[in-house]
Amino acid sequence: MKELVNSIEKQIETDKEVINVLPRNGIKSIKTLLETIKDMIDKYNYVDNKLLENIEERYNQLTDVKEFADISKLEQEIQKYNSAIKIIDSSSSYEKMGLDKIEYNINGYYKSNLERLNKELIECVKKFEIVGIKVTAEDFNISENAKEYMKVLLEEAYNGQINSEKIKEAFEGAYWNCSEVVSHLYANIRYLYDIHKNEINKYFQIRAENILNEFNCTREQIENKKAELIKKKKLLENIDNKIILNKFFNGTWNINDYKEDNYNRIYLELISTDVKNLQEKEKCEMDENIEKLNENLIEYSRFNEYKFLSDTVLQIREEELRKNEANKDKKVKKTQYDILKDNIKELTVEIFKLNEKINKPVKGLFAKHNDKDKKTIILKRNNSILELKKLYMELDDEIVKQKIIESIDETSSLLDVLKLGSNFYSFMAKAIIKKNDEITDKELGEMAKRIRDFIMFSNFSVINYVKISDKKDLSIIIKDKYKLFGMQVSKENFQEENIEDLMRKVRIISNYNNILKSKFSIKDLEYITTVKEFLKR
Amino acid sequence: MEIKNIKPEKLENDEILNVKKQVESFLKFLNSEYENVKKLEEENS
Repeated sequence: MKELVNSIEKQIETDKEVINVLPRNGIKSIKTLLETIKDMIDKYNYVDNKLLENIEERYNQLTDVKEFADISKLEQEIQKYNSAIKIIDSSSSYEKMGLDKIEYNINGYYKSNLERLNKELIECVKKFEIVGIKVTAEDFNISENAKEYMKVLLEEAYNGQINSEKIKEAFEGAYWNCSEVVSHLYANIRYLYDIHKNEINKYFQIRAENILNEFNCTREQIENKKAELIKKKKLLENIDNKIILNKFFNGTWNINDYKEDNYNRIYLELISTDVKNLQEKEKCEMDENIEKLNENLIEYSRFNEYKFLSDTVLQIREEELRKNEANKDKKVKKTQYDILKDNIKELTVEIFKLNEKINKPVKGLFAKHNDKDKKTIILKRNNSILELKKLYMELDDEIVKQKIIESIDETSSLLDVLKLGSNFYSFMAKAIIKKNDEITDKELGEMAKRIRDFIMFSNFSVINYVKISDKKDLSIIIKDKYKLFGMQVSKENFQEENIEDLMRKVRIISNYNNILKSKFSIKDLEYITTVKEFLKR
Repeated sequence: MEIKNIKPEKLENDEILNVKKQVESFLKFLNSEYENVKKLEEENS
C-alpha cells in the first residue's frame, strides 16, 4: 500500500503549500486564509479520528487474547501432586503440619505485631484440627496466662474478631502478669504436639497410604509426574499469547530487544556464525540448545541466590562428621538428641507439678502467707517454661543435624541438600538472617516462600544431577556442556559481573523464538507497544 | 484521492501509524498557523 501512503503524503505537502502561498496582506485575504486553515483543520481532524478509530480497532483485535485453558488445568494438577508429595515425603509430621513455620513466627512476631501473632495462633489451632485434634483454650494449660489469653482469643476469633479491643486488653493483662507469655504459648504448642505425636503420625501415615493407593504409583513416580506437568506448563506458558503480551505490557520485556537486527547480532555473538547461514535443521537444533541453556541459566542463577542455605547444610555436615570421627572410639550411651528429649520430658513433668500447686485453692488464715508462696512457685514455673522453650529450640538444631547426617552423603545432589535445608523453617530462617541481618520479618517470609516454591515448582535439569562430591564448579559444568554444542560461552561469561549479560542475551533469543510460535509476529508486537504508548496520551 | 475518503483498513500496521504521525504533525502546524494568522487579523483590525 505504499502508493496510498505516498498519495497522502503528497496531499499533506500540497495543503501545506497552499497555506504557505496564500496572501496574508489585507484583512480580506487574512480572513480567507483563516477560513482555509479552519477548513483544513476540520478535514484533518476528521482524518485523524478515522485513523485513530481504525488503529484502536486493530489494537483491540490483536490484544484480545486469552490464556490457554490448559495452563490453569495443569496448574491445578501440579498443586494436586504437590499436596500429595508434601504428605508422603520424608519430613516429620511437625513440618508436614507447618508447625515449624508457625512456631518460628510466633517466636518472632510478638515483638512487632499482635495481629500477626494472633493469626499464627489461630492457624496453629486449625492445623491441629486438620489432623483430627480439637484444641481448646483448656489445652493451653502450661500457664494461667497462656490459657486466659487463648480463651479470649479463641472466643473472639469464633466471632471473626481477631484484632478486637478485648483481645488487646487480654494480651496486655497477660503481658503485665508475665512478659514471657508468648514463650509460654510457644512451649505449650510444642508440648501439645509431643503429647499428640502418635495420633498425628498415624494421621499422616494413613493419608500417605491413601494417596499412594489413589495415585496407584510410588512416591518417585508421583514426583516424576509432577516434574513432567511443570515442564508441560512451562512450555505452554512460553508461547502463550496472553503471557507474552503481559511481559511487554508490564515492562518485563522491551520491544527494542526483539528487533530482528538485535536478534541476529546476539545470535552471532553466541555461536560465531551468521544465523542466516544456518541450515533449517542446524538452526532448529541451535534454537533448542539455546532454550535449554536459558533454562539452565535461570536454574543456576536461582540456585546461586539460595546457595547460602545449602552451604550452611554442608558446613554443618562437615562439623558433625568431624565430631563423629573424633568421638568414634568413645562409648557414647546417649546422643545429644536423646539427652534433650529426656530433659524436656523431666522439665515438662516439673512444670505441671508446679501448676498443680499453683492451682490448688487456698482458704483460711494462711491465705496471705500462701499467696507469697504461690508467687514464688509461679516464678519458678515461669523460669522452667523459659528453659523448656530453650530446650525445644536446641532440640530443633539437633534434629536438623541428625537429618543431615542421615540423609546427606557424597552421592547427594545439590538439590537434595537445598531441599533438606528448606524443609526446616527455623533453620532456613536463621540461615537467611545470617546472610542478611537487616532483613525484615516480611522480607524473610517472602524469601523463605521463594526458596520453597523454587524447590517445589521447578523442572530441574542441573542441580538435581550435580553431586555435592563434584569438584567442578557448577558454572563450568554448564559452560562445558554448551561449548560442546558449538556455543561461544566462556568462564568469563559466568563471572558475577557478566552472568546477567549472558542470561539476558540467551533469554532474548529464547523468547524471540517462542514469540514466533505464538499468534504474534514481532511486527504485531511493535505495533501493539507503540499504540499502547500513544493511547496513554 | 481526496484525503477525507481515505480507507485506513487498506494500510499496513506500520503505514497507518506513519500516516497518523504525519497527520498529527500537520494538524499541529495548522493550529499554530491559525493562531499566527489570528494574531495578524487582530493587528490589522
